Amino acid sequence: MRKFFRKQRTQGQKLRRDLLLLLLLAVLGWVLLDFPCFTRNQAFSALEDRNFYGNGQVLRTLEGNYGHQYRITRAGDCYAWEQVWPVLFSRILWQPGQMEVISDDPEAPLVALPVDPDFLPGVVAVVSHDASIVTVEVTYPALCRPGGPEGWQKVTISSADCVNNCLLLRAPEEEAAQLDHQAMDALSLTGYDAAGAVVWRSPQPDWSLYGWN
Amino acid sequence: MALFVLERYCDAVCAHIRSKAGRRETYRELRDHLDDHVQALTDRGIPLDVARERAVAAMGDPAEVGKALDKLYPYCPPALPAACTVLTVAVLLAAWSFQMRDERLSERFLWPDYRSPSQGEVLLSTGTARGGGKLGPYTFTPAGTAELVERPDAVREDGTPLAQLRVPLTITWAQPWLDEPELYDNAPFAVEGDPEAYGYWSTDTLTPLSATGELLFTVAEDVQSDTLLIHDQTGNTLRISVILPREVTP
Repeated sequence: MRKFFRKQRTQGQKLRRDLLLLLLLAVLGWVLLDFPCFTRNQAFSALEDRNFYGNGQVLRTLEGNYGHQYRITRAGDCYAWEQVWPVLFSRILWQPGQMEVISDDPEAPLVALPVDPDFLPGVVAVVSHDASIVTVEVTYPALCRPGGPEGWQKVTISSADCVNNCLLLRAPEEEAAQLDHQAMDALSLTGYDAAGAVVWRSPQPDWSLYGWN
Repeated sequence: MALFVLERYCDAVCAHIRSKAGRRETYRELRDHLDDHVQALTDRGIPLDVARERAVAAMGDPAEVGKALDKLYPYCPPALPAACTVLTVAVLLAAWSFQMRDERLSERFLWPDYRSPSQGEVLLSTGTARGGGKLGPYTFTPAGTAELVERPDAVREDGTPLAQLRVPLTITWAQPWLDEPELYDNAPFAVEGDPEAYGYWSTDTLTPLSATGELLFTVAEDVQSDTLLIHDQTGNTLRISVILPREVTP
């Protein structure tokens, strides 16, 4: 039978057309999702580029709520916590999130880096410059339990979870929200050696001058 | 061959019908009609091949017949259903994306804001800015005229009157996933030779691959030339030279 007026498409042409449509749809989706990154590392790299932060040495990695990923990095004289988050909770596409850079303090054996309060509440990273410090204690005021001046009470958390000279401390859930709102200089840091002796204690923050029950 | 006379005629008619379903139906009905006509002719004793030729001739010009029949069948381009599906999915995706992402995508296509002059703002001088370059993946290019604007009642501790230096810049990058550089919190700006000067970035327009705006510095009012520094955490520095030779006549 002769062919009709419209030339019949071959299977190959149909396949190419369908693949092109799928590709266009994927590109459109990529644009509408605000150009996400295709890997987690690409998102971290983009975050560092946006903040003019060099390629840092990764000290710790953490996972927060809703699949948010965090890294504690060091580049030169700076530390940073970096956050990326999965697009559509997929863990296939990633978006650079927030980043906070903190200058190192060579005079202080311990430097605190409170992490993202929204998706990783109650987590403090403490970088140690003193190899003899194996346990770190963080004390801060929290409005969570009766007692203390005007309902505030001191909360102390400690941790020996040290990797790459970076210790992670996690506040109990009820105190986590209070910890997030503390300025870094409001945290009292104490470092202990393996024998339990105090190696270093941070200068007293202002709140410690008030009486506590 | 006479054997294919009917088929060739049906093909010629259907060639003018755009609808695939119409072609199918027309071919079937036309062929049945021609077969009936041929049968009627052969029943009268006419030879088969002659009967076929006469039946075809009785139908008329195949082009005219085909065009007339084409009007009976509504035509839909084959790609239209697929295109409509793609468009519908795209619109739904866009609507959902905007809703879920708090209009983040729309922020990437900011339109220029009209800036009305602030009340009491006095333009002290205008000039040019040169320099810039590449810092990380971003390219900074001066764009437009630099301005020095009076800041009434702003003085330093030593009594030096202050002014605001505005330097328009264009920042471009090649990777759309990068977004504009973080120039708000980190504030990597300085003025060479003036440690007390401080500055910040103000975005005017934003696209996936570029941002335009102004560097705004608070400097001494009598400045005539300055070198602005933009530095990153790894020690790289860009220099933008600003020369303000032209005083503005009030």
